[in-house]
Amino acid sequence: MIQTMHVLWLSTILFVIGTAGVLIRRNAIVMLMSVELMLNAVNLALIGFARQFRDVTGQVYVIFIMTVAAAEVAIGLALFVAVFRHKRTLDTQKIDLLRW
Amino acid sequence: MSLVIFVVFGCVAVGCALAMVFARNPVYGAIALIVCLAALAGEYLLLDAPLLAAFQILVYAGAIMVLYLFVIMLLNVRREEGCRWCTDWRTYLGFVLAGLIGLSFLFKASNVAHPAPPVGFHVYDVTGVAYTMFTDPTLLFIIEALGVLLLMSVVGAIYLGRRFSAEEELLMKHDRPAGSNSTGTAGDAPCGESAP
Repeated sequence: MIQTMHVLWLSTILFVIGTAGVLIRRNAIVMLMSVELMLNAVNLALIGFARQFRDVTGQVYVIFIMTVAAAEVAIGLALFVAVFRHKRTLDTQKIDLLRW
Repeated sequence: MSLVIFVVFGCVAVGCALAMVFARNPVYGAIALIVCLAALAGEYLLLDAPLLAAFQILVYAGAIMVLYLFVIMLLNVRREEGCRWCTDWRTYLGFVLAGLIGLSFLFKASNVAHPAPPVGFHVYDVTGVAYTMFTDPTLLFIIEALGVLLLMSVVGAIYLGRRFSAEEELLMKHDRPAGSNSTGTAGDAPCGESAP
C-alpha cells in the first residue's frame, strides 16, 4: 500500500535534483529542462494529496500546471533561439547583457 | 505489490533525472528526461490518476520534449568542454542549497499529522475530472486565464521567432563578439563549428 509520505519523498527527491540542475548547469536548455523536472515533482505531490484526501481538484490543478509548462516551454525556447542568433552561444556565463 | 511497482518506477525516475542533470550532451539529457516523465506517468497510474498519466505521455513526452529535442538539434548545442561543473566550488554550493530545500520540505511534511491512507481504489476518470473542472467557478476562471496565457505565449513566440530587419541585424553584428562572422538569419540553421 502506497502511503502519501512515500509520494512526498519521491516528489522531494525529484524537486531537489531539479533545483540542483538549475543551480549547477550552465547550458540554458538543460536549465529549462530542470525546471520541467521541478514542475513534475510538484505535479506528483498534488496527485498524491488528491489521492489522500479523495478530492479531484488536485488533479485539475495538475492539468493547469501542464498548460502553464507548455506555454513556458514555447516562450523559453523561442527566447533561446533568439539569444542564440544574437550571441552564438547558450552558455549562461556568456549571456551577460543585463548583468552588472 | 503496488508499493514495489511504485519503488521501481521511482528508482527509474530518479536515475533518469540524475542522468539528465549530469549528461554532458544535451540530447542525451533530453532523452533521459523523456524516460523520467514516462516513469512518472506510471506513478500517476498507481496513484489513481489514469487521465493524467495519458496527458503526461501525450503532452510532456510527446509534445514538449520533442520540441526540446528539435531546438537542441536546430541550435546544435555543443557539449560543455571538460568537467568544469564538477570542480567549481559553486557546484557544491548548488548541491548544498538544493539539499537544504529538500530537507526543509521533509521536515515540514513530517511535522504534520498523517491521516490514514485511503483504502481501496477510487479512480478518477475523464468524467470526474471534467465535472469538477467545469462546475467550480474558481476553476472556470482559471481556465479563462489560461486561455489568455496560451494566446499571449503564441503571440510572443511568433514575435520572438520572426526574421530580423536589416538595422536590427546591423546592431547585432556590432554587438556580437569578434570571431563569429556568420550573419545568422532565421533561414540558415546556425552550426556549432562557426562558433568561436
